Amino acid sequence: MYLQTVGFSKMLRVFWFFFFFEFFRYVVVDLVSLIFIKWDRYRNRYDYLDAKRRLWLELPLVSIIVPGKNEGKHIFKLTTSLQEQTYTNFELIIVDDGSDDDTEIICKSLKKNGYIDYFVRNEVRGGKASGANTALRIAKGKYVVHLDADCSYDFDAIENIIIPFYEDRKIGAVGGNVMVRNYRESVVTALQGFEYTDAISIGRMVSSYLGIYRVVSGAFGAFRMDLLQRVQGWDIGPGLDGDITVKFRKLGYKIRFEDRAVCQTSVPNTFQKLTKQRLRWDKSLVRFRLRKHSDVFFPHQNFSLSNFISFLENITYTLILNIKWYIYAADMIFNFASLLPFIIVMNIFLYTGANLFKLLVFNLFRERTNAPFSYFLIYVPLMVFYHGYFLRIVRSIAYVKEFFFKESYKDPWNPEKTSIKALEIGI
Amino acid sequence: MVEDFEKDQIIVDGNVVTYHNLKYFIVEINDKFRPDTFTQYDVLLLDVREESLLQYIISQVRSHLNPRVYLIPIFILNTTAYDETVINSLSDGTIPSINHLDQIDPKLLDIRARISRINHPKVLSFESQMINRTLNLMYTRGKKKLDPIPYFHSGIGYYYPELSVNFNHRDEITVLKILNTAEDEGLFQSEFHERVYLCNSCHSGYLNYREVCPKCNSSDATAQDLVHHFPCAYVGPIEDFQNSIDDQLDCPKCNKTLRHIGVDYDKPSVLYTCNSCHHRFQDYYTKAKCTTCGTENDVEHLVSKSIKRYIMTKKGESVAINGYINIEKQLETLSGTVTMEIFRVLLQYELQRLHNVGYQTNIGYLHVEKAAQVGGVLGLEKQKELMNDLVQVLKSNLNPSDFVSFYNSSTILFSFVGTDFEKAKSTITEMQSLASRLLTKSYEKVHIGLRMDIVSLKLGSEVDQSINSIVTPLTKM
Ligand SMILES: [Zn+2]
Ligand SMILES: [Zn+2]
Ligand SMILES: [Zn+2]
Repeated sequence: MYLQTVGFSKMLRVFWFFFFFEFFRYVVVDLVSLIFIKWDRYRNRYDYLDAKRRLWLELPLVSIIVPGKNEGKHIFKLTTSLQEQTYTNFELIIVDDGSDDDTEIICKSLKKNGYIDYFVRNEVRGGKASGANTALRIAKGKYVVHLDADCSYDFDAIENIIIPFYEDRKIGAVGGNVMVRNYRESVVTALQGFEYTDAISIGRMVSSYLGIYRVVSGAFGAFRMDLLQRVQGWDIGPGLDGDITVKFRKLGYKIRFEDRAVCQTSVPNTFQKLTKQRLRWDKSLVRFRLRKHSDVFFPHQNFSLSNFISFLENITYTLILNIKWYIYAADMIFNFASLLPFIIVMNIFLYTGANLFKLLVFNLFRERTNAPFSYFLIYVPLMVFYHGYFLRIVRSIAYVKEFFFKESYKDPWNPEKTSIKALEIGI
Repeated sequence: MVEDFEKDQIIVDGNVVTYHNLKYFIVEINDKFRPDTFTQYDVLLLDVREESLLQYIISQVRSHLNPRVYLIPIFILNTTAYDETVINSLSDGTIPSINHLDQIDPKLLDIRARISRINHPKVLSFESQMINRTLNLMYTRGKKKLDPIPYFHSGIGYYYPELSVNFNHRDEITVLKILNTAEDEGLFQSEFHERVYLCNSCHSGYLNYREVCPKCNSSDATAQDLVHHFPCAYVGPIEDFQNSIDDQLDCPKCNKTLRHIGVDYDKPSVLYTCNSCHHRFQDYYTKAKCTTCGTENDVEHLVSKSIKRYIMTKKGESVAINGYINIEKQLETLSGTVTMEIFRVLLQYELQRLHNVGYQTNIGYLHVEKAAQVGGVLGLEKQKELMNDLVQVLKSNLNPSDFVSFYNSSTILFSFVGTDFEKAKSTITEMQSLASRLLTKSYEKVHIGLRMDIVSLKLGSEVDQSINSIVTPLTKM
């Protein structure tokens, strides 16, 4: 009724943010891409089988590396899930980065019983990157699969994450599909379960298809050994997963998301823990996109258009969009103050409608889910608050903190000794 | 007077010396060494200098089956005493020459008096025989303590002279088992002395403890510090950072020179590289390689045994004199057998039935000859396996209603109900050849003699009387 009175142009004027950015990017582009992905998959199904056949013919050694601190309690479950794998030609390398619990005892006994091939313990913590690099130095595989110890893996996960290397020789790294194991635990985990199935999983399928997929998840990612050696491993985090992906891109290799390679992880179960995690993730965007790899924005010898677009898209849809949203909010407050209650309600309605649409329609494109999509139906109304307000505010805080105060260097996630050095040399 | 003079005279006839009505035999190196013939003499005088030969001779005597041989007093003709503990424990002393025989008279008197007190039971079980021999030797020498001697040549590292002399190195673990049994029977009290670790596959104590590569068991590995460069997070063995020009360490990833440990780099751990398989590892495995059989033992899988000091109890002393017969408990409970007690009861019923019906009933026996020797070669475990195998042969040829029992660890008794004597006799012959074939096939290490026969039960005879009539002839050594 309002629509009829104000007309379509007025509608666009008031809800420009939703229509031009959110709806276009996350509904239209996603849907069109998914249709193309589905079509491509059908068309190339024999190529895929051929790639799979070539993998089994070559049977390359895969080095599975698991760096971590105080992860001992998860290792046994991890090794049992690895023993179920269809692909068995792998070596398992666990690096204990200065744990102060029973990790060492657990891993040593697992090693003795043949569950682990290599176990290295660093008495002093060196940080996630150094742990991964220690493993890398020992690894002998042709491919390196980086795992988080607290995740568990589908029985065909290793096989599926390696196949893409045989589909396209320009693929340098493959990201696995992370799903939420504890989505039933609380509202927070349910919301994240929703987020991972839709925004993250579908989002990555689409960005991978568009050639702008950015971050190979540290929880589950596969890399070509020769390229890892060329970039000489990981740099100091946080955000080392995204960082190494950028380096691979700079070498001219493609990064692929493989939704059929599935791992499940436990996500933070309170808003407090979730906030902490997301602050770290978001700070790393500023640190690595804008600071460390700012060269991709400027024409130079290694300039690549897709890298440029990938970065731009990422910056646009996270950083700039975040700023734009505030502009939008200001625009509404100053120009449509009288309509404000209506605008807010209408926005919620629009976003909820979009979320519901995506949940239902995108389900046609998912090949493997760990939760029935119907489980998330009741959470649809909450998603707008989760995405639109909670995550947005956290992101804003993170950007301010990092951009102006370089807070990530104080994050205890890294040992102080390495953060000092990173700050000194400006990475 | 003349008689006394005669008695004190030392009469030498070749290697035989007569003195105080006792016959001394001088064992020399060039002798044909025949312990069997020592039964003719009362004392041995060893005129041998070389320690290993001396020890060999003493061991042969002390491990002889005949009590007249293994208990014989042994003196060594030498001006000085020996250091070798085993020789000293198993011999009775030293004298400078045969002209000093009077020096050993009191000791000899005592030993001979004690020997005369000993009754030799017709022991059948290997285990009890070993216990008896040990107690006999200790008692006749007035020894109360059986001390473990640290001994290089022993498979388990320790030697209990009076008992271990009966075993070769491979079977010395049996010594510990026998001593345990003897202690359980209250013949000894024990004190803890030491713990030994033995090879899991052959029970040898000759172990070479080494730190080895977890992959290939090689103990040849090179240790290297692992270096972590903070600015770029590179981690690698120190060789990655070394250059051929100077002593500086340069980071292979970012090319910076490492300056100050703890500030821009550190060494979080040590990494070993195996020189034989190139495996990289942080923790050696400690393995114990058996130098006897070559097995690589995980340290936690070694057989751990405690070595104890044993002291003979009052019961032990009385057993030393009266003899010790035990019927091994484990053997009684072998599947398909009944205890001797039940055997007697069943036999009682059988005799009753026989009396009423006028049936023919037989008892058969199966006896392993020279069980002590067989046990010495096979070891206790294998010997039990052997007896078990024989029970299975019996069971498969007897009627289901027949009953089998161990009289002792080398003699099995069984009933042969309702079959006439001639038929039973031929079955026995069949069984014997079957069992003999099994033995030559499965126990090729040793010749095992089997005796089998049946005895027809006489009307009106007593159970004990019947059993004795079977067993008594077997116990004649
Ligand atoms: Zn460096
Ligand atoms: Zn090795
Ligand atoms: Zn051995």
